[in-house]
Amino acid sequence: MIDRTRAHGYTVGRPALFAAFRYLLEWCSHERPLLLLFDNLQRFDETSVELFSQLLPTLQQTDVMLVVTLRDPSQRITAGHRSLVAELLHGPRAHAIEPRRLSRQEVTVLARSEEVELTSDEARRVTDESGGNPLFVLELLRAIAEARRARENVDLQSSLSEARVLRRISSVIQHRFSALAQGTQKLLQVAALLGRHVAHLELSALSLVNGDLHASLAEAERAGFLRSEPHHSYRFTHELVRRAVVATISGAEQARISESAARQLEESFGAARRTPRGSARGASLRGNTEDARDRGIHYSLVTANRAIETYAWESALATADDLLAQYGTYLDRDTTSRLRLVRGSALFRLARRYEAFKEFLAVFDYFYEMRDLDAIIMLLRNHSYVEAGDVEVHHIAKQALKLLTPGSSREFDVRYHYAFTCNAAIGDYESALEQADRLVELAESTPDAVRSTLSLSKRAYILFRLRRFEEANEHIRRLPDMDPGRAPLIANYATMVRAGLARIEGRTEFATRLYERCVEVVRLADDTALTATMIHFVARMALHRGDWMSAMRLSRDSAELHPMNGNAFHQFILGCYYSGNFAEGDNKLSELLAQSSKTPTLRGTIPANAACSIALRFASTGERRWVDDGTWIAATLIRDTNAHPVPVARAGFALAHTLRTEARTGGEVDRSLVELARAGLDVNTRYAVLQDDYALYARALLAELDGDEAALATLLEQAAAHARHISNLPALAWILCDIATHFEDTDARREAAELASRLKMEPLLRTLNTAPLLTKREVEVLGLVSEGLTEPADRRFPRHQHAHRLATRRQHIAQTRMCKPYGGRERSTSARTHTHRIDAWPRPCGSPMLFAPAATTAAA
Amino acid sequence: MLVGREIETRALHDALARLESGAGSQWLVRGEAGIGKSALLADLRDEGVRRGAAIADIVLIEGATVESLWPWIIVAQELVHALSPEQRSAAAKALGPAGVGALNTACG
Repeated sequence: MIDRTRAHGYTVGRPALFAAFRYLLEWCSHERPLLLLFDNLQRFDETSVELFSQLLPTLQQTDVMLVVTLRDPSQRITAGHRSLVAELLHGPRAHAIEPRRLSRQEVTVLARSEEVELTSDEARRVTDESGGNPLFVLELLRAIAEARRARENVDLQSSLSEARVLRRISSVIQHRFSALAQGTQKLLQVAALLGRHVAHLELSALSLVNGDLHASLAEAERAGFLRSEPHHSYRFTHELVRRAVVATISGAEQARISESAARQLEESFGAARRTPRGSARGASLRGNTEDARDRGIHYSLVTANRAIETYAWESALATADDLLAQYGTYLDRDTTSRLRLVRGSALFRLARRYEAFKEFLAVFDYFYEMRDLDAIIMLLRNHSYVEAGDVEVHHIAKQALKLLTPGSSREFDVRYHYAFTCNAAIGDYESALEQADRLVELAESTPDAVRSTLSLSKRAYILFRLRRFEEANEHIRRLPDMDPGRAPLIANYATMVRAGLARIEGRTEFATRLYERCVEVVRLADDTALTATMIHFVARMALHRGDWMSAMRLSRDSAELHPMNGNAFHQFILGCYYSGNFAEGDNKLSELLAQSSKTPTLRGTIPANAACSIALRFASTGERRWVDDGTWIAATLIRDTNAHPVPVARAGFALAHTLRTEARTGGEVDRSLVELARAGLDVNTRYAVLQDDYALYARALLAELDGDEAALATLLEQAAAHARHISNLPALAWILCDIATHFEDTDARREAAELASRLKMEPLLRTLNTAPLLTKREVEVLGLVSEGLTEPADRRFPRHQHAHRLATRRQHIAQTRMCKPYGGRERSTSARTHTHRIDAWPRPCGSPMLFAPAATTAAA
Repeated sequence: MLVGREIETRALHDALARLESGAGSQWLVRGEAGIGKSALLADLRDEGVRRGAAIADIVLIEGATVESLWPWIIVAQELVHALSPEQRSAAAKALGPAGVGALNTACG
């Protein structure tokens, strides 16, 4: 959103601008009566609401009649809106109107005005179905009229679903829609995707619209879908009508129509650079080639932006590339920068994130050096718009716009915030830390809770990634209390980092609660992508508990909210494969692979997660389906020097897992791939990008491939200890299974069997070659043992998780041998006794500080 | 006349009539989608046109992408465009160079 107080390259003082508006209103209202009508107050942006509040006293004292409509209830109403409404109604000449629902008699009158005669029974049913809502009544009446014209047997009840009112009315609109001619339907579908307003010229340029355009428009207008407007344009009669029409188009079809429309509009209005048309062509034919070129460039720029808006990324990239190649030296600075902006947006969507962010950063720095704040605002606005589904960029652009106030040091904040985001997004954490340092420094110079929280949270996040956990914890402790209602995204950032720290520290339940809180907070911000990410975190905690149903349900919710969230897909598949539901897991994996194939560079979360899912499938079933694809994806990702550390580390894990299974199933292992897997996992030693239990397990798999028994034993024990510490039960079960099979360790086998039985991990039970399920008593006893039924000396256990030195699985097993002399009831009782005793111990990590200095010293 | 909205319409029309004698007022029309809020506004606009009031009719549509201060920019544009050249000069004089500059910059 452009901040108009800063438009056109120089700044306008907000007080001066607000005062100018006030003077203008006062002056005009003295000239003649002034009627101000505002529809949909809930759509007012923050600045407009602020100005409205400031103007209200003037409006209440002058000759102005002000009428405002407000959709109620509306999710968009903020505290600012509520406050404004209260102020508005507080005035001495303020009135509120709440239109009531129509009665049956009024429905009958309305029907007559629409030339529809209703029987009393029909009037009653229409009133009941519509709830007396006039728009819904009108839609039902139109449906009845059309049905009668078609001599249909009208059965209102069956034509309407029993869902909510809005859905009912959608079905009525769609029913009426289906009665239109094919050409009109197509026209309306295309128009609905173009927006609520559509120009005749645009429609006429699209071959998607078949048949007689005039006849179709006339029919759409007659049927109450469109209304003609001045300047040969049309608009949908109501936004609900447009939405109902959009709902008749499948997602794939929407993408196809959007892309096709963009291409055709480009050909009609923007292909002047190749075959000049329209005004460019006219100028050229008149011999004015320079003018033709300028117009051609302008049209191409418009086309490129249009392609971005309609998600035609390839087309946008090609247009921008062509224009830069053809007229590179001729283009002015502004046009060049805008084209680079388009390229960046398209590259991002085509999963070439590294180039995209570098491009954006370069453009941003260029504008910044030129002190062209107007261009910076436009850049942020465009980026924010294009990346509306991307959590970080969207968030930072919004923050940056807020921070960019005239004449303050906050201009610098914008630069560092944006550079931070780009560097963090491409995994250059060292550079991001530099930006974060500067942000913290700047925040400290001015007492501002929002800036302070944001800066400290960002620095904490990077420190977390750089494995400087204690410093991250220090930052989190310094965070001021942030009201989620005031700045939900910033509050969420802090909570998210806090939850991450709690998770690796082993405070699983606390971490889960924090993640759940994150979901609630981001819902306040109405940010779909971020909500999806937070739900995915909650799902991960459910997966760790072995709560397959919750994990799969939450993962599905997350993936539906944000289809590019590869992590959610992967978690769903993990849930399926762990619980033995291979059919459903395979279906989802097919989708994941299909999405991977659409990303030319394989960067992003989807391909790496696909490789991990394939590796797990291979290990669980021994079937080679998709294995070659997974190996290729993982190897390509690790070799990609510009890929993000997270997918690279995951690719390392996937490759190690696959190669080990290959070796166990008698296949030949390519040593170069083993080294590649090692290189992928090396990323995790620098950055905390993979859970340590997974990273250690993958290292153990490589040790097995190397034939290094000692390293294998140590790494497996460390992996088990860490999985136990963070309560990642499925991973623990699989690691214990490896310990059991490799070292013929009976205790490990029993514990793995207990976990597999308790969590109903059928594939693992098959691998363990045990009875399908242990008895309830066995599960109970072994569960207590696995919870940490050890000597009191084992109180140190949680402290040293990150050191991976003392809390090894072997020691744990040795300590649990105390249970061996017992059996049956005695053993169970003993287990309970010890468990209670352990529960009574003070938690070593129970202090408010998540990472005590001693723990870090031990970790070092 | 809107069906079932006679009372609301009359109240708004009366307020508009009082506006001619210098009595301004503020109205909030609230309700669910499709209940007829925009229809009341459209009816009032028609009445205002008939009576010759200066009207800045702002319609913000659900789902539209709007810029910061967009509603007020439209108000300013509508009001200024409705002025005669003489009135415009007088308004500019009343606003002063700073006010005119600020509005010009913001409204583009």
